[in-house]
Amino acid sequence: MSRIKAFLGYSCAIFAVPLVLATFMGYELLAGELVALTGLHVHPIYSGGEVAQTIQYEHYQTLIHRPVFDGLLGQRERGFIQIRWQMTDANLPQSLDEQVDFDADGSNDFRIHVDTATQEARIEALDRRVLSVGQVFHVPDGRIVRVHLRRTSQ
Amino acid sequence: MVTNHDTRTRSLPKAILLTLPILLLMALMVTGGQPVPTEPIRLIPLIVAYVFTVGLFFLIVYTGRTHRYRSVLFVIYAVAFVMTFIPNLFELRGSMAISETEMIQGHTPFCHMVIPMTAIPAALSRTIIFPGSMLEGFAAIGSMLVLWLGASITLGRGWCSWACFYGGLDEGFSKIGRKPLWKNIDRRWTYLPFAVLLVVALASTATLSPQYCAWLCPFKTVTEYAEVTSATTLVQAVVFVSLFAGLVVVLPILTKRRTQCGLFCPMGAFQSFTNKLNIFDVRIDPDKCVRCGKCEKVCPTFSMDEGSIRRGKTRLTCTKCGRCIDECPKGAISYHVKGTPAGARPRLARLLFVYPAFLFLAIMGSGMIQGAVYRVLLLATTGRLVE
Repeated sequence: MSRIKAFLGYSCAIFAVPLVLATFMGYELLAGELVALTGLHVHPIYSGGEVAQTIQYEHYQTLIHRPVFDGLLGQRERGFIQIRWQMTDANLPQSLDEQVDFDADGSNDFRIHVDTATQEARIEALDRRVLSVGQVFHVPDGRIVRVHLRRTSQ
Repeated sequence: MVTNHDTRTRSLPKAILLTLPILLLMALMVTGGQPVPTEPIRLIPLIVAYVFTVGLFFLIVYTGRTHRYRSVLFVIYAVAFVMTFIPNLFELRGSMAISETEMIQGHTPFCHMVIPMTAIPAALSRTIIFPGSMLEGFAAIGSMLVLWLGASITLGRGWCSWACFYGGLDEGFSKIGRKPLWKNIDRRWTYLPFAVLLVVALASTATLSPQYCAWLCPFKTVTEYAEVTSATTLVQAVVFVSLFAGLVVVLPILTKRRTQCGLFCPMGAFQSFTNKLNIFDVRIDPDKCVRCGKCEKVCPTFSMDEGSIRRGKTRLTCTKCGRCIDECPKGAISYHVKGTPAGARPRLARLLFVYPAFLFLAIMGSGMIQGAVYRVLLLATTGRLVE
């Protein structure tokens, strides 16, 4: 038994060098495999969640993410919805206006206006769940804004 | 008298032969399998990194001293990391501070210190609570997880002495001065990293935000930190600098130990558990040990005490740095392959550990050394540190 244990021990020890080489040589491939296998992804409070709607305009598109209330296991009372205006072939217009129906019930929940020159945003809440608008993030291909929401209208 | 020099390879040709695998593998890893660059500003750093790492491995094999030469590379690796990372940040975004705009785009580089805080949310919801990217860009989360997994399987907590790009900083400061000015550190402090781990893991899970990164990481001082835009971010910046000064600079100088790694780091505590899975450990031969206590005095991470010496093995927190093995006057301490009899074939066990461990350090370190030498050459030739 002790010989078998020693053999297994030395075998594992010898295997360490190829494992180090595989780690470095294939870490991009392995990273992709690891992510695919485990289903790991960045938490939506950082990534903004999946894009739920894309609205195409002449020179840009608006990406409306799903509302994010994700907690660790359940839903949180406060959340946000991320909106991204992305240039497609030219600069963004100075004034961006968007009406958003985030719960897809057929009626708009808020109207947002962004001034791309001053990076200021105004919001008109059309639903009691809409609380406020956060800062305008000036990113290389456009602007990102998060609108703060609460989960229920109470 | 039997000494630690038992592990020395007395024959020069044999030492050269044992260095040959590292010589060849490092040639492949340093160049990345690409043609060698011809511009001196790229070629010189490559040659320096290659000769330096291979030379140190030769010395480890030839002299039988592991810690002495590992430590040289480990400290230089950490300094080179800082010298490479900061100019990279300035090139990328013109500042060490990371803005909320960078974070919302998922551009925050992921480092291993975040792993313990992401573990519970990842297990429960398969999400990573970090404003980075899984696969895209610099220091993506997936790539860092693969490196950490590879190191954890092969080295266990050896990660902290053979792979971590921060550990060399407090190790470097612990080398300043000849004797420790502060010797009697209450052993109960060695449980603090586990307490910090528990608190930051639970707090991060509760808030869905990596709290150690936000509030407690001393290494933000020499890498990147959240842009100071409010009283909160100002307090955070003050905490980072204070912890760096205290745990990474002053206490290592006073105690000649790695106080950040041994008394505070939650990643180190987390990594200790991987020692249970790892095939290598460090053993003490009770027949050779004369209870002189030297190993206990010199262990940088407080991983030796009377109890562990009595049991013939190090504590769970051992980083396999080799310091106790180098210092033991009776050659009673050695690397060991689990499953084999304790103290059996110590030279073989040492070589089996040192090959993968050094390879890990040399591959990580050579990239940083190349970067640092490149920056020095850039400064010398153009007067600028950034392109």
